[in-house]
Amino acid sequence: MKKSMLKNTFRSIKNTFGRFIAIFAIIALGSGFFSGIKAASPDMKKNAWNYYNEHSLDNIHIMSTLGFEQNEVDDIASFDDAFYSEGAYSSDLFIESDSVSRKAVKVYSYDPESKFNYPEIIEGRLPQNSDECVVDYKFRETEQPKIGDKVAFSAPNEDDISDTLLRNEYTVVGYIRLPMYISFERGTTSIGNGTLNGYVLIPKENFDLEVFTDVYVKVDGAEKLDPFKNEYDDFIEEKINLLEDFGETEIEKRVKKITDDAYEEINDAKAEVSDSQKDIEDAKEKLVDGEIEYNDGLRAIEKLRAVSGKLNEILSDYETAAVSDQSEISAVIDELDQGDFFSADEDLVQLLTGYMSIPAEYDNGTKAACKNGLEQYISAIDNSITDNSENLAKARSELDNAANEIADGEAKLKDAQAEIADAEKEVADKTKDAKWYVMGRSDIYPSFGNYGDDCDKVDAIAKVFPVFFILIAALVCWTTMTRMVEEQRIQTGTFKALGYGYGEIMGQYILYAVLASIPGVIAGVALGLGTIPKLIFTCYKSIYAFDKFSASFRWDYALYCAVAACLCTGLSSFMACQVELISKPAELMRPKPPKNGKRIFLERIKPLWSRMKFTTKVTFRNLFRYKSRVIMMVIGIGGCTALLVTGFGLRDSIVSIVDRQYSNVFLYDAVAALDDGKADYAKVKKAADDTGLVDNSMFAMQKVDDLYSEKGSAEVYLIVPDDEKNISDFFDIHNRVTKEHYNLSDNGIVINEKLARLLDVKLGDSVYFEQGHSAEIIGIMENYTFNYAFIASGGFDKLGLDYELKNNVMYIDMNYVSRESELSEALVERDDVLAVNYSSSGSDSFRTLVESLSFIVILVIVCAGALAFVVMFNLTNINVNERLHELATIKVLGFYDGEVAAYIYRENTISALMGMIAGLIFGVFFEGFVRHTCEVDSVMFAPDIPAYCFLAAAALTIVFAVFVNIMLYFRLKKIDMAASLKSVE
Amino acid sequence: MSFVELKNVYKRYKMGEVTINASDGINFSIEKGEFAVIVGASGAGKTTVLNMLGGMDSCDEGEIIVDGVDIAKYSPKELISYRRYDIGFVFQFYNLVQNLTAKENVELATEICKDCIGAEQILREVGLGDRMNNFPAQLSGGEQQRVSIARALAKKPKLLLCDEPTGALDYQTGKTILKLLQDTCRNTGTTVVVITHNLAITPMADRVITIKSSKVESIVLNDKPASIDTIEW
Repeated sequence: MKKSMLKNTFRSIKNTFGRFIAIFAIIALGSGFFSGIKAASPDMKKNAWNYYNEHSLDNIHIMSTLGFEQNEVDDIASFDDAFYSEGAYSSDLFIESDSVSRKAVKVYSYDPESKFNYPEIIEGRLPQNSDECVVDYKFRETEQPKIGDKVAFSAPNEDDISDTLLRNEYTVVGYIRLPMYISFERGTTSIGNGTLNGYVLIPKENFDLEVFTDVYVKVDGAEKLDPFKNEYDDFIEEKINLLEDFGETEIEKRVKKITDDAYEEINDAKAEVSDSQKDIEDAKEKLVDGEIEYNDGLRAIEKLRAVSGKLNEILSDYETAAVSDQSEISAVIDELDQGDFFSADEDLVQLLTGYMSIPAEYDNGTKAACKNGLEQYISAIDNSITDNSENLAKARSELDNAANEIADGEAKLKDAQAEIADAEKEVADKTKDAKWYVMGRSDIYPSFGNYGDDCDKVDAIAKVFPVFFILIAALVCWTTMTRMVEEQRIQTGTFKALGYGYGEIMGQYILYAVLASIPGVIAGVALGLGTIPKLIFTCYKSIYAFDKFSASFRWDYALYCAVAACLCTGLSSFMACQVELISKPAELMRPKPPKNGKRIFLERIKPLWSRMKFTTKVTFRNLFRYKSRVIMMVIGIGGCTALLVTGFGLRDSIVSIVDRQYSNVFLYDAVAALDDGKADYAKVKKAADDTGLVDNSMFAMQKVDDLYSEKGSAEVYLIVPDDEKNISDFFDIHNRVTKEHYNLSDNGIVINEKLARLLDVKLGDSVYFEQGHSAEIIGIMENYTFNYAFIASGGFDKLGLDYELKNNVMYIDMNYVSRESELSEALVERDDVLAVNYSSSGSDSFRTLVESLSFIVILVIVCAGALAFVVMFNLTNINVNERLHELATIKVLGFYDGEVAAYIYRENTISALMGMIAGLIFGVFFEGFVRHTCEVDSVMFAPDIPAYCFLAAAALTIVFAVFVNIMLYFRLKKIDMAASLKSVE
Repeated sequence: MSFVELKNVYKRYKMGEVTINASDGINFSIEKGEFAVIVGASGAGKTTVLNMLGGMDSCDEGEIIVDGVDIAKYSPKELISYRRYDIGFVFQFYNLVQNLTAKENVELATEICKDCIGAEQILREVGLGDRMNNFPAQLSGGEQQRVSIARALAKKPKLLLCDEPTGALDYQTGKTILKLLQDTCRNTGTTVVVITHNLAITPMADRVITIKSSKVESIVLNDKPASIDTIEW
């Protein structure tokens, strides 16, 4: 380009600096908003990504029903070259101190050598001695506990804390943050009332557990992938699958080892048992023998006593007398011989015979000798009796001892057998369903997934709004550049007459456009990237605990914007130049033939036209004459109004769902999760009723399952109430539009509106959980959060799914909602109640989430407002510029300032109103479109736009219009009549 | 006292460091009903004088007395009223509102005027009785200037100010326009001031004020102004 042309371009920038700045500003605004909103989500994700990398958040977290031995941890690391693994301990315990009331916390082991999950120190320092601990920074605000406090842990259910921890008392030395918890959510626990209040880190050596409870795995290369992107998910998912398979073999080995170890002991015990069983048997046998012997002994003594008695009798009976008959002696001997244990020997027979057969008077001493002999005999017997009796008594006590011993032995044996059975059962229980739980970040850290979801929501908004902004900015640039080219037609003609080529002439405008666009883009992108992501991030700060936020400059966005801006401004000047360039220089030098005045349609309606005031006629003429300008104005203002309607409508759609969900749909106050394996429903109900806080309760099965239709599938909560007649106290199942209430019946299923949309089904269609198990849709209900399918128990049976109907939740209607903790205490202490959740806290946490989203919408509203303002100002300004002559003329004619303003205001107002109305109408559709785009599968934003949104959008548009008109007033006042009338139009 | 009197009128423009005197102590007077012509070369300061006289611009110093009132002391609002009720302007480029018909262009003036001549009547008077409903684009230059004059006259102005009214017209048409102005002056008694650089038309004026270098060079009274028909250039 020639020097003088360049000079001219720069001069014209200087002379039309207002316009230059206007182009610059609108491009800056458009590209700033585009890049800012667009970058918000990636920046937020990048921020979390950096944070996770810096703090080395594990990629995969494994837990096992059996825990992990060191060698398993090592096996994991050596299983894949990319893996690095570490074992750690964690346990849910109660914390307590003088200043801190008992609350449930998660206690993690702290290992300074660990390469995982570095704690971030918020205040204080990390533990250095084994009696020190650091606590969740969440406790810092309430100072419960505060640094320096001594805290103690206790285990739930009267368990001994020393089973878990070697030491029980710790001194708090700092507040920390763990990368697993970036939100304020701490998750749930099976102890206490189910709420986890925070976490505590204690030195690793304090854990007294045989096996690690957790294994953290880091995968090489994962840190280079955006953790919120599919590539990361795919990458990790693959590893998770590998680890799950690996886990199965490991578990098998482990189960075998545990079983083997256990059975080694069990078998020893069993051998011992069988040994002692044998001993007992032997002892028993011996005992029986002993008893027989003993009884024989007894009987022998008796016999001997009888014999001794008989002999004494004989001694006294036959003192003098004698038997005549030999047979009598034989009888006596027979009598003595009768029975066992004694038989008369030769001596006795001789003695008796001698004694009995010899009468005393014939005694020659033989009888006396016999007597003597007998007496000796008797005394021998008596002696033997005494001896035997003593022996027998001894034998008796021996026998008794043996019997006792046997009884003892048998009892012991029984115990031992029971022990063995227990041990066997224990092993069986331990190894039954033994499993590794291999989890990715989003499976175990809820804040991770939530953060990703929130970023995606921001991204969804970024998909629509900025494009709209850019479009409007483009529109404004287009009009401005076109106007400029037209204004300078005489100059163009002059250049052409001087012999400059098309390119050189056009180059000036394109240079002008580029000089305004590029800095505009750079300033806008820099400003947008610098502020908007940070602003949005700040909105989320109430939920997510990142201290620092770094926005990166995105050259790609700047490039897109620069290309778009240059294309738009350049192309518009190019197009505008086309008209000028084909014209002959002479034509250009002559004033542009003014656009012909025309009769307008309204004039043909004579009765109307003739009744109109003169000024009104002028207004209408002008409106129709400058159709294109009016259309621009209508599009510009309409677009902004539509943006505002969308902003307000969307905000309402989002904010109102919580209230709608909890007042229109969920009527219950609390829901208790039950262990369906062991729940004693009657007792749970009684425990709840006994608190006196429960008005009504209902058991139901709530199950997460995938519901399919021909056209799609979605994850749903399937709810099967125990008693479907009772459900209306807990859920208001009705259609949002028709307000029709649905009764659950055995004939079909009721699903929510969003679900019907996801599955693309309507009333009467059928949906199925598993192929071939379908149900007819008998109702489509109002619902906003998550997807639900309600079915009566009879209907569920008809479905014939592969799981059985078992109630696992209890919905509760409370009479004193403020006394939630009492109900929790009463229920959670039961083994079969897992947790109690309250609608109030559910709605609260949802509300915070939703509010942060609505911040973004407010940002959009503010920006849309700014844009509306700029658009209106610019278009009005162009309008004035184009008609400077006309305005100067009427000023010269003596129109007062107010009249001059009114002359142009009427047109502005009418086009603004038309734009506004168009915007309000278009806004409905645009809002619907944006709402659908932003919506995630599990949420339905309230689909109706309340009147106040339209009113607010309209009011803001009017405010802007008034404001612009006020500014315009001063601009009109300053019009230099003399100068503008002197020039040709 | 004269109907129009300018006494030591100064108008200065500051262009950065330099101050330019657009009017450097202008003194002249015009009597009621006169046809005055202000002549001078381009850039002599004619238009500045006319603008100040017409209330489109204010002076920095001096008095501008019109019909006994010093309009130099007028507030902007009073100046508007002055333009509205007392002044009629005719421009070189007619300055008609393109979107209004001839009649409507005149109505633009009559709408805001208290005592005015009906638009149709005045248009007939300037010879456009049958072009009233035409848009400016449908009229020739002379016709457009007639509309412009009609618009100025409809207000019954005390002073009709014409800035190079024939500048954009051909010779013959220019003559008829000047004739219309002269006739208007004679027939209605309106004081007419015409600015021109064309010395040839000075004979038709009652008073010729020559301006040179922002100063009044001479004021010549013409006892027997010629009819425009007799002037050739």
